[in-house]
Amino acid sequence: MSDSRLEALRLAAEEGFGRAGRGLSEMAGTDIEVEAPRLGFLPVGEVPGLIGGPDVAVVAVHLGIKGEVEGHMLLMLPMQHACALADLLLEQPAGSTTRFDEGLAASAIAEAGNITGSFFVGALADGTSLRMSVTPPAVVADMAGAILDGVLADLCMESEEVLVVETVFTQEQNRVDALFLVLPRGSYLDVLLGSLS
Amino acid sequence: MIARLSAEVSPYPLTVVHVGIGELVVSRDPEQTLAAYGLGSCVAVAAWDRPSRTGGMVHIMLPDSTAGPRRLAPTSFGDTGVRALIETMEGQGASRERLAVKIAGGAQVLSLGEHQDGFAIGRRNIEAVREALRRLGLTVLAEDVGGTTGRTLLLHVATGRTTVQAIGRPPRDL
Repeated sequence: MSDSRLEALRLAAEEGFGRAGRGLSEMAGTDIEVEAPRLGFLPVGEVPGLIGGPDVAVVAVHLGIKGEVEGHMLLMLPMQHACALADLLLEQPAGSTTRFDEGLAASAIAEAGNITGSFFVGALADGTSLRMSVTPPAVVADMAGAILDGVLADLCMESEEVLVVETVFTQEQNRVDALFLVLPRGSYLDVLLGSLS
Repeated sequence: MIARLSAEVSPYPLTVVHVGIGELVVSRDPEQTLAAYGLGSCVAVAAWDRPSRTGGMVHIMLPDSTAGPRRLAPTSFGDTGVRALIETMEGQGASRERLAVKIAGGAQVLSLGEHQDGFAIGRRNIEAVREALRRLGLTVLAEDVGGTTGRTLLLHVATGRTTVQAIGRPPRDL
C-alpha cells in the first residue's frame, strides 16, 4: 500500500470529518473540535485499545456503508461522555442522562452518529464519485470489545488486518470526547483508494 | 498485556493476564488470572486441569479456519483454536480426560437485521467451539453464551474458579 494512496484517503477523511464536526456543532449548538484524522492498518486485536480497552463501558452508534464501497462506521463514547453529549443535545442540565437502553438519550446519540456518518460518507462520495449510502444508526451500550468484535469478525472474513480511519470529536467545556472509526471492507479498498488517487 | 482489575470488580486480587482476540494463554502460575475482556460475538474457552493446576484460555473470533484468511492465527478460529488450547495444555502436563471446560460469549450485541450476515457470527462461534470440543472427546461443564450483551470471562489458575462479568449485573461464578 503506497503512502500516496493513503494520503489521498487522509485528505478525503479530513474533509469528511470536518463536515461531520460542523454538522455536530450545529446539532449541539456549540463548537465541537475535530482532531486531524489518523489512518493505519491494525491487527484486529489492537482495535479495542483505541477506545481505552475492550472492557471500557461505552455507548456506540453503528452505521453501515453500502454501495460501491462497503464497510462499517462507529461513533464511540465512554459512558460518562455519552451521557454528557446527550444532555448537551437535549438541552438538559448536566447529569440528567444516566442510561441508554431506550428513549430520548438513545435517539439523540443515534442522530449524532447519523450526522457524523452521513457527512463523512457524503464527503467521501464527493471526493471519489462513488455511490455510497449509510444504513440506519444502531445504538448500543456495552463493553467496547463486545461491540467491536462482531464488526471485526465481519471484516476479518476478508483480511487479517483492518484499515482504521479515526478521529476524536471534543467538546471541551462539557468534557465530551467521541471516537469515530471508519472501517472499510478489505475487498473494497482497491476501489476506494483507486478512485481517490 | 498485564493489567490489574480493581478490587470492586475482581474477586481475585491477583495478576490478570489479558487474553486478547485470537490469543491463547496457558498458565501454571497460581498468582495469575486469565481474562478475556469484552466478549461480544467472540467466544472464550477456559479449561482447567486440577491435578497439575494448569489453566488455559483461548479467545475465538471466527468459527472456521477453512473459511477465513489463512494468515490469521489458528487460535482465532473455533476449530483450530480449541484444538490448540487442548494440545498446548497437554504439552504442559494437563490430561485431556480431567479437563474442566467452560465457555462464554457468542452474543449478538449489534442487532442489524439483514445488514450483514456476518453478525450471526456469535451463534456460529458457539456451535464451532462445541463441535471442536466434541471431536476431542470433551464436554462443556458450564457455559454463559448467546444473548445480546457482552461478557468478560475470568479463570483463576490456582483454583479453576471461573467468573463471568457483565455491565449492569453482579459478577457470577460459572
